[in-house]
Amino acid sequence: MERLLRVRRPEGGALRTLVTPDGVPLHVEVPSLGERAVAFAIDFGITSVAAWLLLVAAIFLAWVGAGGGAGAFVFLAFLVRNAYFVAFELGWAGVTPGKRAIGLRVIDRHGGALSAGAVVARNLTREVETFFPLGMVVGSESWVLAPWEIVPVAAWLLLTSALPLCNRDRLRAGDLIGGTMVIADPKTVLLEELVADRRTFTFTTEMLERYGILELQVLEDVLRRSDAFAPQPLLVEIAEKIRRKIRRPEPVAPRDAYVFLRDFYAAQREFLELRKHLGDERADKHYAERARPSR
Amino acid sequence: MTGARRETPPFQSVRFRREREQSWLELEALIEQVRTDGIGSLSAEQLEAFPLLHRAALSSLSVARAIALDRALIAYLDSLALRSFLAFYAPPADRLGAPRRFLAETFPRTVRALRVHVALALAALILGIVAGYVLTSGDEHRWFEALVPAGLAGDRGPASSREELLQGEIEAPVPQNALSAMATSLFSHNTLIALLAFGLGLLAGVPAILLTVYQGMALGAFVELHVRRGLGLEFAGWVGIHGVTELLALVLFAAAGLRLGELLVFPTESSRADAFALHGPAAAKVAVGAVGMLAVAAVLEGYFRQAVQSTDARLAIALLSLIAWSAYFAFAGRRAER
Repeated sequence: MERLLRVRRPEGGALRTLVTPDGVPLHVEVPSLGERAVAFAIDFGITSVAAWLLLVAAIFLAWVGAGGGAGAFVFLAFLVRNAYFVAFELGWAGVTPGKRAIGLRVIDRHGGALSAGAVVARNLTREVETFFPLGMVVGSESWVLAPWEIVPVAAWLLLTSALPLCNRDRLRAGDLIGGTMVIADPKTVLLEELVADRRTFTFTTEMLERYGILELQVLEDVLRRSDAFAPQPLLVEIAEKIRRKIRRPEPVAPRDAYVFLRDFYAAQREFLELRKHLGDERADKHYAERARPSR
Repeated sequence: MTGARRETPPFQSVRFRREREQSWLELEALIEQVRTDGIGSLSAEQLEAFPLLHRAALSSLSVARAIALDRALIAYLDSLALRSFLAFYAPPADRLGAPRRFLAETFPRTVRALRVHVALALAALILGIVAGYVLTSGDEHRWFEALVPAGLAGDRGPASSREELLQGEIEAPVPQNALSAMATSLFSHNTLIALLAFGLGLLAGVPAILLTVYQGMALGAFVELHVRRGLGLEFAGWVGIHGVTELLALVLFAAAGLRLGELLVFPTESSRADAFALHGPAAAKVAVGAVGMLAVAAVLEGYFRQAVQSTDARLAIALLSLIAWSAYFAFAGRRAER
């Protein structure tokens, strides 16, 4: 389990542990910053278009003169953006359309329910940590800046934009203050059982003493990615390697490679699960060296 | 070697999966239904089954971690338990109750809890106003320009006469359209300073205090400019009608920023992240409420200030808003507290 926490998944994200109120540790995947940025870009695009349409409607209904357009747009975008993020993250349990497209979700970092306060806090802080400084930089003459104000703003921009890079959970300031984090939305696929009821090959205990859990799970990955009928030189090669390692005298016919590996997997797993049950957990093939006290 | 296929009795983890698999799939279907149609779509039987299936999945996960070496199985149960947990602990459905409770109880109560920070921020603001006034009264040309950014001052300055101030500022006509006016005032210099004061609290709270003092100094310089031209009361009405609300919001932002800075320098928990997670939301709630106050100030400034032209009426509104906010923060939500 300890190793699982440190493993980086090939799909990208790193794993973190979240303890539920029932006391069961669950593993959540921290998405990459790229995924976060794309999700945000989608949401930002949607809200900007919505604010722009509202502005057109407002001008059409003569609420706003043509001259006041820029100011009113900033105002409408602010309203639309905040209403959008808060409403979706509350209504859809931590998911906005952009996050849904990428497969992200906001959760309470300590395993509780996501509260309305936390959602509002993390979104309001987004306003403070991103848009206001951005607005100041983009239109600095209209923001009436005293020269010395630029220094803290620049420092702030640097700090907040670097914050998600500086912590392993990729928290931005809003997550820190709201007590939330963004995770990859879990997908559940129950893959089929690899252990068949009818087996062709049998193995002696001595043959099963050679490998540990790590090798077993590598073999599991290989089997799940292969299929029984296509001829696969890789399977033949692995089968031959295992046959030699466990000192099995009879050769394995190339067309039997898959069945051999599957039956070996079943026998090895049964054996290692029994050893684990008896208090002898064999992490990998070097278990014997570790068990012996070094002199 | 092929041909002879023997029946082998399934071992423990295989039997375990066969026995429990059905309940996992049932739970998965329930979660999917909650995700697409909401928890309200579950029938009475399903509602009864959900917590049982949820617990069963959590226990399956614990068992699987103990007895099974099938990585795909453990990964499946891990994510099933997580999805079930997320569906189970979804945000409460009562969406209208939350803002009402926030205004009636949470916001004033949180502000009361931060009263020391509020007092400090208020002291910083008053200090700034006094310092700005005193400095400007010493040498108006030098200090007004030093303290007030050119964009904020506009045409106003040491060169302005009493008549220019009266016509261009105090008695300026009603704006052409209310929405733009409110937008401009909500996104004015002061709001930016207020939000900065909160955000910069993350840098140990010092900038929050500095910004508040500085903001007070600019205001003090303006006060001096008008008092010298015999417009003290008129300016008090002109600025106070929305300024009471806006400055109070600035003080609350700074107080919340100070709280964040305090958590950074003196974390109450074992780690700063934990301290933020535990006490940060309170500071954020104050800031959320203060944004609401800024919106109120924007309406007062963008619309009412020009609609109400008499200085007496402006002063009355300013005083009323001061009394109303004080009473709100002093008394609202007290009963529920006990």
